[in-house]
This record gives sequence, C-alpha cells and structure tokens, in this order.
Amino acid sequence: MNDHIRPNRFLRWLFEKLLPFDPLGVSSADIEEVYASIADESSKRRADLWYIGQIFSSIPAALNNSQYWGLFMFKHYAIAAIRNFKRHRLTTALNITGLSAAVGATIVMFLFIDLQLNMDSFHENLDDIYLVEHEARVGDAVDAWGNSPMPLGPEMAESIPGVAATVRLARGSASMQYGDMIAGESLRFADDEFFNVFTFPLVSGNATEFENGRGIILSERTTAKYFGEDDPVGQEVFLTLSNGKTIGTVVSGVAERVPMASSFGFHVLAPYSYLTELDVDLSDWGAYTSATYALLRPGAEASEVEEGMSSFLPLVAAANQDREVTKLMLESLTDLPTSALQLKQSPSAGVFPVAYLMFGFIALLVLLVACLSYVNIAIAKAMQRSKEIGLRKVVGSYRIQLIGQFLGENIILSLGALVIGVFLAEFLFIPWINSTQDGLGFELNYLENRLLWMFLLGVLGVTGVGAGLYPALFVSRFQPSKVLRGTLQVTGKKRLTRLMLGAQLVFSFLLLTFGVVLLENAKHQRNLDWGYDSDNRIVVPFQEADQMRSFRSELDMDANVIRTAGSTEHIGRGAQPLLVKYEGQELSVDQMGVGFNYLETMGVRLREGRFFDENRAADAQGALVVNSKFALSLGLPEVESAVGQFVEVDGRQMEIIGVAEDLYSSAFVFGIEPTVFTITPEESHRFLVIQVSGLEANQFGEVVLSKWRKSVPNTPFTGFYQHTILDDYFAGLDGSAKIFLFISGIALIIAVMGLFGLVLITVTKRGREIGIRKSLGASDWNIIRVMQSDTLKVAVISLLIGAPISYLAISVVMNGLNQATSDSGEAFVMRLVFLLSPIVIILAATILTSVAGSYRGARMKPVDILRQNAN
Amino acid sequence: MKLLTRSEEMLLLAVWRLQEDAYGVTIRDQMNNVSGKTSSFGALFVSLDRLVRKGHLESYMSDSLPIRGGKRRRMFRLTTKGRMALCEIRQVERALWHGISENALAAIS
Repeated sequence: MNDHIRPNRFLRWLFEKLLPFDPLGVSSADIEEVYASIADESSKRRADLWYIGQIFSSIPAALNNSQYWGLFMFKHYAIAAIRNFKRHRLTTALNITGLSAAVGATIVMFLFIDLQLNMDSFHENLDDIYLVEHEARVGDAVDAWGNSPMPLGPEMAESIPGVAATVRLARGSASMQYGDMIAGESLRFADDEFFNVFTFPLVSGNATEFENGRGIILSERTTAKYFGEDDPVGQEVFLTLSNGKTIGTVVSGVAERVPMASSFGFHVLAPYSYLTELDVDLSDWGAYTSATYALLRPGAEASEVEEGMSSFLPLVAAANQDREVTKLMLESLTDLPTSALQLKQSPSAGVFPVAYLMFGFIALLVLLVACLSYVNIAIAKAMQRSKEIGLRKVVGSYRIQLIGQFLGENIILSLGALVIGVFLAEFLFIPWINSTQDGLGFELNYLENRLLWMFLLGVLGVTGVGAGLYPALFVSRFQPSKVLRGTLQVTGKKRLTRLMLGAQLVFSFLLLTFGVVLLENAKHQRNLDWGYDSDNRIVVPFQEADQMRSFRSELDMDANVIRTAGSTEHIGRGAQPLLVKYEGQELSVDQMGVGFNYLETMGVRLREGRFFDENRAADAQGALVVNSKFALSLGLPEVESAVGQFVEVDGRQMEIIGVAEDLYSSAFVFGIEPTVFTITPEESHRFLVIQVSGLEANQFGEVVLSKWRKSVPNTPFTGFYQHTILDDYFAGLDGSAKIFLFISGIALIIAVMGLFGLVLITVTKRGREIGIRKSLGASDWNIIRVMQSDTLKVAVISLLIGAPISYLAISVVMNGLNQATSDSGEAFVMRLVFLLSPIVIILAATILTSVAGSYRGARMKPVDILRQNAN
Repeated sequence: MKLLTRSEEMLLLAVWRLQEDAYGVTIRDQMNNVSGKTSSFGALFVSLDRLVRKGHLESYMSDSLPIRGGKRRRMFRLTTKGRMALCEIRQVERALWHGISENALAAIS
C-alpha cells in the first residue's frame, strides 16, 4: 500500500470544509486511506475521480449539518441574550423605550412629510392630469397664477388633440333644503368630466344625473346631516344660491370620504352649468374660475399641448386690459405640491420646502440621538459582559462570531423597538396629534404604503446596525487574557461618549426651549388685550339688508339687548385694503366699513376726539375714525393731534374725527395694521353685532336663534360669539406648541437615557476605586457625588453651548411670532426667563439620572466589588 | 428517550459488529455491505459526530499507524446508553413485526 499518494491539496482543503469539526485531521485521514487503496488497486486518476465524487455527495450532509449547528448556536445566543436582557432589565427597558419613542416620532414625521409630498397622488390618472396655469404681469411683478379664464377649459378640450378632457372647478355657497332641514353649505362647481378625470369613488348612486347637469353629488357627512340613515339617491333637494335664486335638483350620488391627501374636497358637488344661475358669463375670457385641470391623452406631450394653448393667448389678453397675461401653461399634478407656493391663487396649499426639510431633519436627529444614546448604553452593557467575551474567545470564538452575536442581539432589540414604535405611533402619537389638530386625519396604511415599509426597514437598519455595530466592533477587540486577569483598561472612548452625550443635551435643550417659547407665546397671546370687548357680543352674518332690518327690529324689543349695530367689515373677519394720501405721502392701510354705533357696540376704546354720530350728516360722507397706529404713521408729533386733520381717500378730502386705541382685527400673528373706519350704507352691511347683558351670554344665544327662525325663516343661522372668533387660531398655536413639546420631550428622554448609560460606564469602570473609597470610609452620598461630577460637567458645558444658540433661536422665533413684544429690555428678560425652565429641567434630569445611575454602584458592598475585580 | 432512527440503528450495529476495528473506513464498508448502497463520507462523519454528542457512541484514538503516515485513527465504540438504545429498538421492532411473516408480505404484493 502506497501511503504517499494523497489527493490534490486544494481538494483536501475543500473536503475538510465539508466535514464536521476535525482539528486533528483524523476524518480526512480515513478518507485518504480509502483514496490510497483505490489508487493502489487501479490508478491515481480513478482515485481522484472517486475523491471528487465523495466531495460532491458530501455536500447535502454538510449543508444539513451547518443548519443544524446554526440553529443550535442561535438557540445558544438567544439564551445568552435573554439572560443578559434579564440581568440588565433597567437598561434594556430604557434602550427599547428610547428607541421605540424615536421610531414612533420618526414615523409620525414621515407620515407628515409623505402626506404633503404626495398630495393628490391617489388619482388613477395622476400622471396625465395637469393644472392649467397662466403667467401675468401686474405692475412690475410677473407671477404664475393657478386660476384660469372660464372658457379656456372647454375650448382646450375641443380644439387641442392631446387633451382628453378638462374640468373646471369653482366655489360658491348656498343654503340647501331637504324637507324641514335647511343649512348653509359650501358648493363646489365642477364640469361633467369630473369623475372621469379624478378618482373619487361613490358609495351609492352614480354620476349620471350630475353629468347631465341635473343632479348633485354629496359627501357622506352632508348625506348624514340631511338624510340620516335614509337613501338619498334620487331625492329632490333645493339650493338657494347667494343671489337668492333657488334651483331644484336631485341627489345623483354619494361620494366616499375624500382622502386626506387630496388638495381639494367637497361637501356638495354641483354641475358647473349652475353657475349661469349666478349670472356668471361662462364665455367671458376676462372672468376666472378657481382652477382648470386637463387630462391629457396617454402619450401626449405637455409641451405640445402648451403650444396649442398659446393660440388662446390673444383672446385672454384682449379681455384682460388691467393685467397683461403673457403665457398659458400646464403643471403636472405630481409637481404641484412642491411648486404651489410660488403659484398665486393656487388650488393646492403647497409645501414649505424648508419647513418639511426641517421636520425631516428634526426626526432624523431624534433618531440619531436615540442611536447615540443606544451606543452609549450598549458599550456600558458590553463592558459588564467583558468576562463572557473573554471566555468565548478562550474557548475558540472567532471575532466575527462575537460581532455577529452582539450585532444580532442589537438587531433583535431594535426590531422589538420598531414593533413597539409602530404601536406607539398607531395607538398613542397619531390619535393624540389628530386630536390636537382638528381636521387632521393621519392614518397608517400598512398594506398600501410600500414606501412606509421601506422606510421602517431603513429605520431598523439604521438603529440595529448603526447602534449595534460600534459596540460589537468595540467589545470583540477585548483581549481575553487582559479581561480575565482584570487588567482591561478602556481608554480613549470617554471623549467620544461625552461628545455624544453633550450633543444630545444641546439638542434637547434647543428643542425644549422652542417648545416652552411656543407654549408661552400661546398663553401670552390668549392673555393679550384684544383692544375691544369680546364678551357678551353675538355676531350674525347676513346676505340681505331686508333680512337684517326685520331681525333687528325683532331684537330691539328684547330687554336684554343693549345695542345692535351693522357693519360691512367685521373685527376678526378681515378688512379691505385702502390707499390714503396725506401731505404728499401715500399710505396703504386697512379700511373697515361700519355702521353708526358699531364702534360703541364692539367696545372699541376712544383715545381722542369722538366716534361717528348719527345726527351729523357729514359723518356719513367725509369722516374717519382711525386707530393709533394710523395716527402714528402720519408722522405728527403727538398721536392726539391727528384729530381734525384731513386725508385724501379716492380723491376726496376726509376729516379725522377720532383716534381709537389699537385693536387686533385679525389673528395676532398679523399684528396691528394702520386702520381707518368709515361709515358705509346699511345696504352693504353683512354683519350684525348684538351686545347683550343680564342673561348669561350663551343662554341668550338660544333667544337670538329663536328670533332668527321667526323673522328670517328658510335661511340657515350662522351667528357666533365674538369671543370665539380666534378659537381656531389659538387651537393652531396650541397644536404646534404641543408637537414641539412632544418632540423635545422625547429627545430629552432619550438624552437622559444616554446619560444613564454614561454613568453606568463610569461606575463599572471605576468599580475598584469605589470599593477602595468605601472601605476607607466614604459614604454612599460621597460616592454618588464623585461618580456624577463627570456627567454634571458634561451637562453644564452643553448648557453653556446650548444657551446662546437657544437664545438666538428664541429671538428669531419671537420676532417672527409677534411684533408687539419684540422690543426693549423687557423682551430680553422674557427670553432669559424662557431659557430658565429648560435649563432647570435639563439640570434636574441630569442630576437625577446620574444619581440614580451611580446609586447602585454606591450601594454595592466594597468586598463584592473588590473581589469581583480581583480575579 | 427518543427511538433511534433507522440510519442510527444501522451505524450502531455496524460499530457493534466491528468491535475493536470500528473506524470511518470499516464502518462505511460495513454499512455499504449491509444496505447495498454507498453513502458518502461526509454524511457518515456527520452522523457519527451526532451519535457521539448524543452519547450513544464514544471515540478514542488508536496508536499511531505507519500505513497512515503515522496518523492515528479515530476509533468508535458503543456506550452503555447506545447498547440500551439498541435493545429498545430491537424490542420495538419485534413487536412491530409480531405475527407477520416475510412470506405473507411477499404474497400480497
């Protein structure tokens, strides 16, 4: 037997890989024995063939075996991981909480951005729908406009071959009547191709009657309001338009709830032809409809269609003498969300790119902070497992196996955090945000949103791999001999962990300050003097002066009514722009047309001069009451001396008879504009203000309502209390403050957990020092003080860095939010006060966590620590 | 205790039969002779490895042998546990085949 004949070295190496663990090579030797005997008996070639055959036929068994061990080791690692999680319950819980909170917050942010960027993307024809826009020059400014001339849509559909259909949209209002039920509704007029262009599924009925111009489509909400549970399809309803004309129509169909991602919705969708009832000339190239959408034929180029559109330019230009229309163009519906901001009169709200970039940035930063804090804690935990790692290495663990183990543990942990994060988002964050901001209807559509899944997997990758990789690489480098002898020195990482912690603290400080500022601002604005009396005033908007007269006479008989007054513009509901000339300078100011007594009824405070007097004939024509800001802008030495001055309005000289205190005629953000009050005739009045006393104001609301029903039947009542006029505005303020507080809270929680991790590291690393200190007589508190001085330093330094940044941020925000409070030393003090509470919160959180973190270390018996460290 | 599988049973019996001479090559020859099929070395070593881990077999090293270039052989022998397992499977098999003759089976098919 020739024992020198051996198979090829490469083949031997290959076979070895396929055999079970065989360090001595005895299994291979067995095979080579057979190989040699075959070579002996026949030939080497034959033996080689046999050997290769053996390699191939061994592959299934080897694969099987590797899976067996894979499972075996997985079980082993899982047990190790679970034991480890159990042993460090607190830090594991902290880790999962922090990460899942960050994941939840990121999901909310993602939804928010996704929604805005994918506005209108649910339409099936999305890629072929375009908004018709035009470019016009007014003065020196050239702008793109989102509205379009009325006849353009149908003309395009008729004469341009690439256009399959066009839909014009217009707004209106009407009171709708079915049986006894009458209410005011906002209408949306649309061309008959509406449902062929857009995708709005119907729940019941069909669009036939609507497309024939004889029926309307209702939303589910409107249907429920008028018909309850009954079937509305085919029922006759009456629409009384704003000019008083009544149209009988039928309910053609009921539409499904309009998705939140739709840039326009409707409650009552009426045929476009109904506009003729409003005396609108549909063929007038000078009249504009709020939007025209064009559906292009598949394959048609937008540029070709635009070329075709240019033939209408002369028609448009001829009908628009005051503004020079230079171009007609198309904008894809997919581009609209990002470009809508530049568009005047845009039908879509548009996205502030900066705002959403910021939102996304904040979300990513929160996630980053969470990862940083995770890394800190993971390192601390790995340090405590240094003996396990040492032992693993001694019994033959490869570094790659250790990395795999730690990375795997972290991925499992972050997978858990991801699941919890989704739950948090679904059941806590989203309902909460939906409840703060009225009308927001965020939804997590798990199945439909592929992007969301990709995003979530991305988040998992970032947190699991990103947060786990560093600790995994770090701990797998330990040298077993050092670890087991207890001489392992971890140096150099301290600076990094401190840096990460500092960054977290600075960031949460900044966010916290923002939250506090926004909240304080909301509170501050609530307490601001509105400049007039808003209590006990009921305001009733009108359409016709006749109605007002009879209603007013009804009211005047009531003993609880102190005064009533009409007005054209109403405080809190906007004003008209007006150009005023005074001694050669032109001032653009706000104008409010009011009736006699209006200023008195609203409790506007007089500063100098007098209000309008019904008995002086001149007041109705040539008199003005101005606010203090207006008086100031005249440039007179004293505000009071404005009384008696003449200003030129529309070529007429008008006398200023009184100066009123400043008042907020719209939301506070817009500040106070120079305003003039003028008398307008009763026919133009649209509001009636009722000042009441004696009764509780809300009780009196019922009285007003019943009088309304009596004197003006068949018209919906739209009155409100003056003190509720800014409720929406305040709700919005509170909402944004809440969101900021929420984010900053999460960032702070995460940062605090990072802090905890840092303290744990310190305590573990300085265990022997603690033991020696304690055995020399140091008290628990003494130890805690020593241990936390490190983190406290980091906290103080990050506050020192964060404070100026936050101060700057506050200044910017406050200047933007409200001009009234942005001057002088008072504002400076206020900003410092705003800084104070975040500082206190962060310091308290820092101290508390580091005390809690070092408490365990401090409580340990010195014997235990020293013995543990000695082996 | 779990019953042995057929291949485990065959392996253990082969080791038992070979007594002092049981190592990879001989075990494989024995298996091939009994079953009439050739099995790969890879599968053989995996199965032997598992039987050792389960405690049915134990291995020891032979003296160094000149024919293998001085390398030693990994010899296998049954443990008490392995013997017990074989007895058990023998009982089960006897009960399973009780009253059935091979002739009768052949007649049916």
